[in-house]
Amino acid sequence: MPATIISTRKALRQWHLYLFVVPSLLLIGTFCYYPAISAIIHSFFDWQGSDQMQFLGLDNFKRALTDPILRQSFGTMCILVVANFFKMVPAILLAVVIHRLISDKWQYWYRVLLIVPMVVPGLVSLFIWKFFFDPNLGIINNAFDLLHIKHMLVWLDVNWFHSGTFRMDAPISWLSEPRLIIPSLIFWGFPWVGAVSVFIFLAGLQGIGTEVYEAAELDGASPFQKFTHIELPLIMTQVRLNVILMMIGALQDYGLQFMLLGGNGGAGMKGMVPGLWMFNRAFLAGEFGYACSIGIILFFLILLMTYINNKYIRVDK
Amino acid sequence: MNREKILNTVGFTLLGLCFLSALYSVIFRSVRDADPNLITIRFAHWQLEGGLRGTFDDLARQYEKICADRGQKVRVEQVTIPESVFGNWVLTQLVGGTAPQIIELGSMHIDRKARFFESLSGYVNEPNPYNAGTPLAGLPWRNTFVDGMLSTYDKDLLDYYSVPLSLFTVRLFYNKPLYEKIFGQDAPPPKDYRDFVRVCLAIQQYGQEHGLGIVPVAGSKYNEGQLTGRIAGSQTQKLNDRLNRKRTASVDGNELYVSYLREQWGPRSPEIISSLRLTQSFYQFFQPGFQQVDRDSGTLYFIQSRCVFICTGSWDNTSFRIQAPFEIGVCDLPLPTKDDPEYGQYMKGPFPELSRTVGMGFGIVRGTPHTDMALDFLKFLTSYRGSEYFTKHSGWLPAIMNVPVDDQLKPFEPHMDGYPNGFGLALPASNNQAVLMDNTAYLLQKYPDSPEAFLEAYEQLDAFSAITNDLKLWLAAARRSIVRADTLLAANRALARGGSGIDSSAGRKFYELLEQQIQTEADAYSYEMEMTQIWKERVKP
Amino acid sequence: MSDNSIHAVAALQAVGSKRGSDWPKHLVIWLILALQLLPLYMMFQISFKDNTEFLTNPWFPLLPWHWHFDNFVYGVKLIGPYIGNTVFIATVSASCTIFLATLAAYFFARYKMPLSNVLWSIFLVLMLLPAIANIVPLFMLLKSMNLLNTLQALIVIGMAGGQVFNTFILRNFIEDLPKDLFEAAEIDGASHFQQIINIVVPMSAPIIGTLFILSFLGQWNDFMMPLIILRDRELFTLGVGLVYLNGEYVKQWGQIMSAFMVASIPLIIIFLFCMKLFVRGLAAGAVKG
Repeated sequence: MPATIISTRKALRQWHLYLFVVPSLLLIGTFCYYPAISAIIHSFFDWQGSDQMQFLGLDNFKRALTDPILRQSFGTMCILVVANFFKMVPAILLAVVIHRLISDKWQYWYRVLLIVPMVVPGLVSLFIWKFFFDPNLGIINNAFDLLHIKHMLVWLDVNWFHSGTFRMDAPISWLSEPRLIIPSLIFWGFPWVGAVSVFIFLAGLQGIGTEVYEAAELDGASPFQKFTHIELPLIMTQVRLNVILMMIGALQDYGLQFMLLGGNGGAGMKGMVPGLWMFNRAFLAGEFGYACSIGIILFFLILLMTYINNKYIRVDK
Repeated sequence: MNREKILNTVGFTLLGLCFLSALYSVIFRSVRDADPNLITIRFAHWQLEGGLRGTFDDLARQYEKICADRGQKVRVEQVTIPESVFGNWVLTQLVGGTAPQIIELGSMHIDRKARFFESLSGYVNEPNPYNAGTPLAGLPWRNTFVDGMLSTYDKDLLDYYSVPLSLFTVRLFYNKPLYEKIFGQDAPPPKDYRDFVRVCLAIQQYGQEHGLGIVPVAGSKYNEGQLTGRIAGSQTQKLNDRLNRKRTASVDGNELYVSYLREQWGPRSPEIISSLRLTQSFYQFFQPGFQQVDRDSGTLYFIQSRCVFICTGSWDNTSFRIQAPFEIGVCDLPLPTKDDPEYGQYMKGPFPELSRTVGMGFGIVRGTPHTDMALDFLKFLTSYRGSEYFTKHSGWLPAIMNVPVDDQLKPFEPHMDGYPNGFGLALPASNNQAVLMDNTAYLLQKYPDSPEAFLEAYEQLDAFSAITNDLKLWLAAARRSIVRADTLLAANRALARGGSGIDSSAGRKFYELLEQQIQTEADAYSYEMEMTQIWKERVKP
Repeated sequence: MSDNSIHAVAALQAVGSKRGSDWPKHLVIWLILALQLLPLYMMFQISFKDNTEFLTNPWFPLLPWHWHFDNFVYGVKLIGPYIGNTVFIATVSASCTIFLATLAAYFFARYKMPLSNVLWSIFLVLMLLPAIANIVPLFMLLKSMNLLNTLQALIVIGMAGGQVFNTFILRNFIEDLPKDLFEAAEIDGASHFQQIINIVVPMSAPIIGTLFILSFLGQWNDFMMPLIILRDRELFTLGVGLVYLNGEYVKQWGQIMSAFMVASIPLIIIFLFCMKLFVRGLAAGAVKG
């Protein structure tokens, strides 16, 4: 449906049409734009949350650039972002396999099962996972002992890495051994099949008709070849979309780290991510001005990501 | 399709019903809160240990009743926040202006204390009206506390900001049946460090012989700190004396900063190395991986009889007794003796507990409504009768003099004699140096045979700048509080001059404040000078 | 049935291979799903145990006649009061968000007025503005509006945050609706509101349902904002309640897990009834997204 064009003259008579957007505009003006502008302004000040502020110029940003903790937190975040690429694999696999099922009924019920974890509050699954990581009571160590994975890890550590991270006489301390914090954060939520991402992939796959598969089968294509030649190309757009969504998520999210590791990002601050550091400076140290400047830096990074995102997605469409 | 429609309708109807009931409770609540005559007093703390919350609730009800008898409609609400989020909760509430009237202070930064909390020196010399008719009647409020409120006096701000409610001591708890099973009926608990080591080794051996998975001590990051932090302090007792220029009972934080910067002591001082070694010597007795687990997992370990000892404070006493299915014994911390071949040389002897044990200080937030009422409630809590009820029902020690204590609390009563305890490498009230310690402390546990790995990692970091920054933060805060006090001084002076005279309360207050101000200024000035000097010396060669 | 829901249901039709058996695929799916559902299974079975039973037998459920239903008494006591607040916030916030977004989307989809491009870019730019940079000033703003420690604050923030995404999606949808419908309605003298209610809402019901569910879930799961904004226990949402529950010193895992169960039950019940709507809504949403 093309939009009805209304000229300036006519618009004066039909001004009440603008009322349809006014509430939304007011809301985003007050609660999105105003704070954003305020954040930009305050990032140039030493601001402790009171009415008094001291102008600092670019000092907050200079401090941020030399802040070793902020630098380390960006490193951590990059690792988490890269890990997200691999974390998509189970979701793609699951989507492809569900898509290839013959039975409609099963397809439907698997979707239902996928949504079930989604209706459980995020914090509940977060705390259950925190409990899984508990060194003494947790399930992960329990399972690793049962399946002798721990023996393997200790053996690898003793013979290859010599880091002393894994020891036979001690339970694996997932969240307090600095070397294991990042792997734990990556492992968190295994097998990483969120309903939304699987559904996005499934939506991409639905364009493939039965005849394409039949043709492929006549050519004697193996299941894996079918994947690389038919399915993967078709969902590349969705994969990209997912990557960007995940990256932006990784840049913004700090609730997970805050709840799993506390406001200081765990031992050696290894789990510190930029968002958490911002939160920490603002609401633990009271350095609101500095926190704003970290926020601004994050904003520009996300802007860059979104730009890249738009560029790629546009090309595909 | 039809069936689906029905199901959908049912689902959304359920949601609608939920919503309606929620709406009802929200509206009902706002109607109830709208009563203009009702004064609500809130007090916030992080003590989620068993037994305490109920007692506080009882006391709050009693206070409400007293107020009702006076014709005031008061509601007292207890706000409990877990320790893990307490720090940011308090800051958010203070900055946001929604803070409750009464907040437990803990180790709050002086800057924040001065900015947000009411100074109490004006009130502490008056008697507590709720003590009328008790042995403490007529005594100035300050003198009804066991330590005369010394421990809540802020040496930097020269003022009182909180009222303590309880007394804390740290003890070794042990599983009595298990202990007696290993060492025989009525075996005495370990009396010093060597004895403790012997006992622990015996427990380990017993565990192996009987194929039991028991370890001597339940550990967690929290419980470990309680034990080793105090015991390791014994190694710096003599150093403590040497660094003490002001001749106070124990060196204050700034003195430690400056002497560290002057390289009068450091991570390689023999005393510090010895304290690190002593700390590490305990690690073999905890369960493996203890550094990682939370306080509650450590507790669980103890409750489940998987270990014999746990070290924690009197605040856990009630929780433990509620949870543990066995009798709990309590004994003193296993300190080394002065003639200990390895750890005796830097020690002076056992330390008195009073100076650091009066705790759970509640402060009053400035600018909140009904602060007078909040203060009155604190007076009620710290009255003889309030304190008596408090200790009897919570199982916590009272901070008020002469209040009778239960027999089971007797082992927790503080020791009064001894020599000041020392300090550790983690400096008190530090912001920047604490981060360095946080980053490296795990190495002590990872290589428990020697502190070398930790020391090397620590020395890689720039402790000098970190501590300078800590000192600078303190100086900045001191300067801010000087400016703030100037306003108060001017106001009181104007009041005193404007007719009421020097002998009036404003006049007295003026001279008190003036004296404090001079002291703060002198302190700030001397540290500032010293810091510049140190920096010059550093830069020159 | 509308055009779009036909579209959505089509997404569910199998187009896989017709040759060979399905059981290896089922195996793969069950393996992944089992791992994915493991946390829920653990939550469910531990919630019926006390600490001793849990320690001796962490993996397998107890026989039903050994179940500790008293855990749930604790669970309801600990978490129950917060559910009401959360339902209130999530429902109000999600409905208002969708309502306002529909209005705005209707405007943008149907008319091209002077300034409407500028206004649209105001929306679009916001898609780039991450909420994270705002949190500190937003807090100060709420303070000066006296909204701290109120449920309204959470509702309003949720509404503001949801405007852009929802308007964006709804505009795309409304643009795809046939123009004749609107024209016919206008000839009949229908006002804009009548057009929205009689044409837009029924025609885009699935997408509105999906967006409602997503907004609702977003509010239901949020915990950072409530943690910063709320002070009084009686105002707490589920998120804050769970954080506080996790901070208790005395951990009885059975009770904690039962509290988690209680926190999950309301949505699970609604989900059981509206399962098809969820699935179809999400599938349709994914097609568009």
